[in-house]
Amino acid sequence: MPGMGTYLQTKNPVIVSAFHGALFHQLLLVGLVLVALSVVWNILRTTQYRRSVAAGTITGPPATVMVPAEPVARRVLRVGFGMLWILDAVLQLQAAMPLGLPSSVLQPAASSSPGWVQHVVHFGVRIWTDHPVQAAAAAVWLQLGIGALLLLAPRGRWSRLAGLASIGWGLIVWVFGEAFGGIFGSGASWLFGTPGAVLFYCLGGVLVALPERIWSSPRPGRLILRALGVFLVGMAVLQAWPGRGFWQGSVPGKSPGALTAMVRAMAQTSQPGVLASVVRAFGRFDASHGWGVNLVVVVLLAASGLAFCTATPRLVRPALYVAVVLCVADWVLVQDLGFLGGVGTDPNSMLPMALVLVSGYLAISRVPVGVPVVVAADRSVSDSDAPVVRTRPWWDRVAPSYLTRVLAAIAAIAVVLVGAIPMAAASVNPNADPILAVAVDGTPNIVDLRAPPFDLVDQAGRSVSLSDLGGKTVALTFLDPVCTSDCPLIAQEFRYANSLLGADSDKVVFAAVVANPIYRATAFTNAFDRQEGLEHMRNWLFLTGSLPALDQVWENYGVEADVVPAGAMVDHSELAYLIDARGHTREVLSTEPGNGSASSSSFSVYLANALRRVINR
Amino acid sequence: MRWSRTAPPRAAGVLALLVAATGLVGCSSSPPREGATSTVSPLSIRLPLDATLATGTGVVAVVPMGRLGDALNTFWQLLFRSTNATRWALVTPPGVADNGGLVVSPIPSRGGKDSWLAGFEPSQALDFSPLALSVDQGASWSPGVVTDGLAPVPDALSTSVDAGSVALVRTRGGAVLMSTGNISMWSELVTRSAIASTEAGRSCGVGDLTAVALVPSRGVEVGTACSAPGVVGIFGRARGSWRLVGPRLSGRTGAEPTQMLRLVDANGVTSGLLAVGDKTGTSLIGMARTTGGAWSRSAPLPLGPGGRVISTGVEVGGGYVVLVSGSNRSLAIDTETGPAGDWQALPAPPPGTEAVAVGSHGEVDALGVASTLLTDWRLDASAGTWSKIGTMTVPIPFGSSS
Repeated sequence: MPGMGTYLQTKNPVIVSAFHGALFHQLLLVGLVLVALSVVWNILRTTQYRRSVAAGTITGPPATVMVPAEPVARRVLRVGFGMLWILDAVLQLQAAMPLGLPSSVLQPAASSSPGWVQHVVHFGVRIWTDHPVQAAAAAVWLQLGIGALLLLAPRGRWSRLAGLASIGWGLIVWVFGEAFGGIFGSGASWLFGTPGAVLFYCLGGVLVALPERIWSSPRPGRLILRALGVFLVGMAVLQAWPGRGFWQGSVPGKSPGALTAMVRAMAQTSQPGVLASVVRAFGRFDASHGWGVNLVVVVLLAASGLAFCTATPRLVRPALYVAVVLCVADWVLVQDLGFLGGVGTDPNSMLPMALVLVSGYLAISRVPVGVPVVVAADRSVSDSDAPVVRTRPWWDRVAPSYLTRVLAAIAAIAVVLVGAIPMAAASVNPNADPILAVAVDGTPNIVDLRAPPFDLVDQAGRSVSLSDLGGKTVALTFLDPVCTSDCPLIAQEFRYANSLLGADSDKVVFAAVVANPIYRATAFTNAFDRQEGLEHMRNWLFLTGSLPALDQVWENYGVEADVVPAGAMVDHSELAYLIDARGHTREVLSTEPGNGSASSSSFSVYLANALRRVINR
Repeated sequence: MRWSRTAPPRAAGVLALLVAATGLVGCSSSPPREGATSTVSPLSIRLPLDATLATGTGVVAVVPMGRLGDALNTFWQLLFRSTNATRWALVTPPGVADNGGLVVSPIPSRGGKDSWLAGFEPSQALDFSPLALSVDQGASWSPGVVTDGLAPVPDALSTSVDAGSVALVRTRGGAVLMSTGNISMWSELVTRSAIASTEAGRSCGVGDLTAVALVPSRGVEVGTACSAPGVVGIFGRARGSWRLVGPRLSGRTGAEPTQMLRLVDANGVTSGLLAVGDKTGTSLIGMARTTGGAWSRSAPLPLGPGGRVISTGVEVGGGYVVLVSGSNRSLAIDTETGPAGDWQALPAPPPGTEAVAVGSHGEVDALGVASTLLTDWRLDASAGTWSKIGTMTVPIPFGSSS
């Protein structure tokens, strides 16, 4: 009915089902890739064994080379961020992600940022809103693939590629998902996650992508610590800046301070009761001791930041303990773990930041040394950083473990591609996913019934009957020419569907029958056509007639058109009948528009696809 | 720092050049006329559509109801109370969502029932204006249409028994359309730019077109805002050209820009409500044209700081009654003692009053709105109090336009 626009709930069963369906199909695809790679691995290993036996080298002594073990600082980053990416992928599996992410995460993240940031974020919001299933499923596989690649490829170019992938996807998430981490927004604070969790993922990716030899000196560790030290001192200054609401708790009669307000908001998140009570308790504590809490935060941030700037292990070690404790406290008490509530996408900024700090400390305190590794001199261990013995054939050179890791890395890249390709396709597709139309309007009724005849007049006053349209597929709907809300949207959806049909539009007539018993003259259909830019659409008919004639058509097609008093528009059914060239109704669709342009565009795609189905039957 | 010290003189110089250039352009495109000064900005007062109009057979009122802060749940109602009745009847024309507002022009009858032409203001995706004509005081309606959106002013429509109808539309910067019979067929009579380009238009410094009236024996008259101090923007057509037919103000009000708020033919009397003023304050002046063509006018009624008109009403003889909201949201009613008569303050109406009407016997009704409930308060002039004489629950279709 007009004016009763349908709003999709975040856990709309159609969308959730489609999301799970997409994940399942992509899981099958990933499974196929894994099977194929297993077969390849088996073939290579068999070949290797047979060739070695034939060459008599199967029992030969392995080559021994001196290669450095993976630096522990790098390993912490690689494994830590690999696990974080996998955790994020698991969080992306939540049922509310397809429809809830734009309204609950993306738009709120940008709400306090300047207009240009919101404009940029809107681009990401539009892609996700138009393609919720595709985007949500893609995010799962992208993050799972990146995490797996980080974990499965410890050394060499595959590992560095994992770092680059982490940077690439991390930047996309930082810009569109976190609105640049809120650094341009008002109320930015280290406590609330500035400069954005994913920026630390990117930093971790950069450090993993660097050549391994740079870890042989404490220099990268010093650089990391000094950079983070400066950052923490800056955050302490920002935290201490007067007038930003962090020095006040809660004063009766005044709005609460920034931290108190945030903690109270986080406590409302759907979460286990124990955690909620802990967060609420801290909120109460901050409300009464806001000044003291902020003082402690400012002092600890500044002190640990200054200690990190020295990059001296003696000072960094205690500062690291303080910073990690502060991070964990903030993660639990302020950020409320970050991933609860049904649309949490990551554990927020504290864990990744602590990870980078620990890595920096390890880089200055545990510089790697070379250790003898007994292996065939292959790239599985050394890659470009170690001597390579190339005098032997490949089946003698390549260790089984290397072969396994290469194929595992390829599998992880395949998983990334399973996500990246649909995401790229979604970002360039201007038309919304037709699943939105199904979610709003339900699935169409598939029928094969002779369409009731009608004899009406078009907007030019010419007589038009259904039989006159024989040979064409007809999309027939019912519109009120003086409707203020839904009918103009439906008309635009029809118009856009016509443009989507391309050459097939010659085989289709788009027709509307007036659904207003009072405003039904051609003067109104013409005014409507002019308003909607339909007067030049050559296959558009807006049909009307005498009230008895319209009554008959409405009855035959099961349409109600009721006059409502006191200033309301006519209450009428919103249906479309797709009638094939033989005059048989083949599909009956609900045309009730959803909210927003995404569902409108989605319906157009859905209608165009349905018309093609009818044409091709 | 050095830049900021040197910048102001340079900026000031550039600004001075721009001002000088603007002055030159202004002089070349609009030469000053005797008695006209075009340097004052015209008034641009947005008069609400809440309005009442009394005829010989009763009073018709346009009142918003529902959730008044929410446009999609505000539904405008057309109400009618016949002369000897005590209760209002709901006569809102059906078939169109009227969230954008309603305007109505009565066509006084000669002994029988009045006819009304009602117009729906555009709203949401609807950018033209459906019309509805009733010849039986709202018992039944016939549809019509203006393919442009009606201007959002109470006097956007005017009709007469013999000369057809005129409509003031918001397209093309404001235009007047005319229909001679079929209210779905309109032709353009004049646009704002056409009036502004005439000699009379230049001497007025035409701002917005704000009212249109179809005056028997005189034809179409158009109300406008005038930036020229003291010039009253009422334009009529004579000898093929649009001319100023309104009076000229003198004294203190003669030094201020003006805006016609209302212009109606009230039972043979052309009656106007004029706003004069500047940023410091606005006053209202009631005007009426005598049969000889001369205009009489009331003394100015100052609205006071922050005051704004929220409803206007026309008495059967052409005098005005206005409902004014003060800066502290207090309500006040002032009424003229006859056409262009002196303003008289009435007791403050009850809270929630949205419109005020003066009936043909001089009775004053304040129409109060609380969501779906309409309350009719009647003024007891002798006691100076308001008495509730009736209520009506209107079936507001909440949510139907969302």
